[in-house]
Amino acid sequence: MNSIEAKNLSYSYEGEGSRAFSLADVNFSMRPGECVALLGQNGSGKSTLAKHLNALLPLQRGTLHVAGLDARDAANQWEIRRKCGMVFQNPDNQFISSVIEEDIAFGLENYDMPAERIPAEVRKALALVGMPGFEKKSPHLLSGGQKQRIALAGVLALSPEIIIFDESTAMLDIQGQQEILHTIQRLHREEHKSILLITHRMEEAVLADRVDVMKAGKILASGTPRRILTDLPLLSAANLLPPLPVRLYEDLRAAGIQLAQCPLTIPELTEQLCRLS
Amino acid sequence: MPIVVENVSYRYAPDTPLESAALNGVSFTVRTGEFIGILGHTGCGKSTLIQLIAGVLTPTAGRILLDGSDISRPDFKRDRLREQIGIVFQFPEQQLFEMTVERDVAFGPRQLGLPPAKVRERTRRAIQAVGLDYEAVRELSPLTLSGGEKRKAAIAGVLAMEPEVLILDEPIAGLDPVTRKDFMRFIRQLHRAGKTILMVSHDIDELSACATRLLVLDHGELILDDTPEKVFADKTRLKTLQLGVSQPREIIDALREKELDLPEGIFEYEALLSALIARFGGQKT
Ligand SMILES: Nc1ncnc2c1ncn2[C@@H]1O[C@H](COP(=O)(O)OP(=O)(O)O)[C@@H](O)[C@H]1O
Ligand SMILES: Nc1ncnc2c1ncn2[C@@H]1O[C@H](COP(=O)(O)OP(=O)(O)O)[C@@H](O)[C@H]1O
Ligand SMILES: [Mg+2]
Ligand SMILES: [Mg+2]
Repeated sequence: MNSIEAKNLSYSYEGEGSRAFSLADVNFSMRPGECVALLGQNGSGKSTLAKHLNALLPLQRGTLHVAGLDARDAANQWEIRRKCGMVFQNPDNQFISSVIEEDIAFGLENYDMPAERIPAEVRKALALVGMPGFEKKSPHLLSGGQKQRIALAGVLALSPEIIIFDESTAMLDIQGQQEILHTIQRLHREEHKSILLITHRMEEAVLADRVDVMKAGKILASGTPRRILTDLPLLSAANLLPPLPVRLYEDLRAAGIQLAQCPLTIPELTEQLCRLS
Repeated sequence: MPIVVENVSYRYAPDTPLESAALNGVSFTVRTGEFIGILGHTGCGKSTLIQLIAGVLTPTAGRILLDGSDISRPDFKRDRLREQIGIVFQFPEQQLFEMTVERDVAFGPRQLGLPPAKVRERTRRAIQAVGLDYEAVRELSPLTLSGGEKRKAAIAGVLAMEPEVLILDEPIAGLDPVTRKDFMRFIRQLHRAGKTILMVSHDIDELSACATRLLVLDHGELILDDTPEKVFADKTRLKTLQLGVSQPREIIDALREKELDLPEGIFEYEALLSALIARFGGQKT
């Protein structure tokens, strides 16, 4: 059974009668343990799709199952949010409490976790994001990357099957971006979480099992990172830019220098260039 | 019109338990026509620094001089500051509030007390300058614009004041790559047209391509102040600071490590491409 199964999903913020679709007949699925990167220009509908998967928007048209739960059934809303957690873009407005353990515990209490089990779960979640011992600190005094990891710990405490990162590294400095990316990779490889990574950063997209591209509320293409990220006409149609090694490959080729294979990453590029000499 | 930042310190909530020292004894001079990139980790004091320069905050110690006058003195004409220095805060699109794009952009010039014809002219020019179609967007509500367009509209509002100095706080964070490129092209045009630019960003690739000078802050102190060439030359320093290096730089360094004979000190794309063509071109493959 797929972690996520969306069929013919359409959505308009103006209500059901409207024809201004932010999602237009989207089919989207994710297998358990799969890491999917979702690319698309600002306004292409990425967050609108993500909010459906997290039961933050009501279903208008189409069907959606998240971790086997039917999103059409309002009674499933809370369970869907627990099974499919989301980390947002802005590190600064995801906290309710000024003490980290209280903030994480708040989510657990909402799901009726017995009080005596909560401290252990909080400790476990903080360890998972590489921040053990931060229980008594205030989230407001942390760096951007640390704030995002605490937000993630709040999600992880609920033992989700699927985690969505909606441009969660966009506001971070380089160090923070790397902290989050390493944590995501670990959750994927070691905890076998299904991960939906919404991002503008190609270095992140190349790490996914699959890359989907959105444009104007539709999924324009879906495939391996190599197939999607080297397809210049597709990227251009989606108003996206290729990874820098791909751009360099093309520019070198135009100058009469042909590499054996189009590189996706800097190590691949270096290897190809070394072979030339 | 130089801006002199002289030994400036700033503390939030002084003499309270929440006191936090955001800047310590920072000094530098902004010369007319520079494009200054400001770098540093979250919390190092970048936003505090530019808000001090724009006169939004007042230094706890030290002073800031605009054309030789201390901007925090009571006899300083605040209007001059607003006319000469435009600041675009982070997420400026959250501050759009008028019913139409045109009214929003015209807000600043109207406050300056300019005659209506002049206000209209400046508004039109500013909207066109950010690459929006004036006739198409002027009557629209800002809320109907896309994220990137909203940000452009907000920046048009600052441009309509026709400041000589434009300060931008992480203006491209959260924008998609194409919108980022368009936006940076536009900022570069303003710079070429003679504006002085100060821009906070984590995007090393863009800053290395555009800035004429970089300031690096760390824990409230100005630790580097030099040309991009010089700042990026110090690789070990950059590594300890974890500010990252531009991708072209990363590529050149990786190749040099493999003993490929390539010039040092390249950090932007066009230079990388030329160096690779010079090294590998003409060789039969
Ligand atoms: N709360 C909202 N109200 C009205 N329109 C919205 C709202 N949120 C998003 N939209 C519109 O829906 C479209 C898709 O937006 P979104 O899903 O946020 O895109 P992305 O996350 O890819 O940037 C855009 O045209 C946007 O303007
Ligand atoms: N309004 C505020 N009240 C108290 N402390 C603040 C406030 N704004 C910023 N700070 C603190 O001042 C320091 C510098 O912040 P800031 O200038 O925003 O950094 P940057 O823009 O480089 O991320 C940080 O330690 C931050 O926590
Ligand atoms: Mg979004
Ligand atoms: Mg800041």
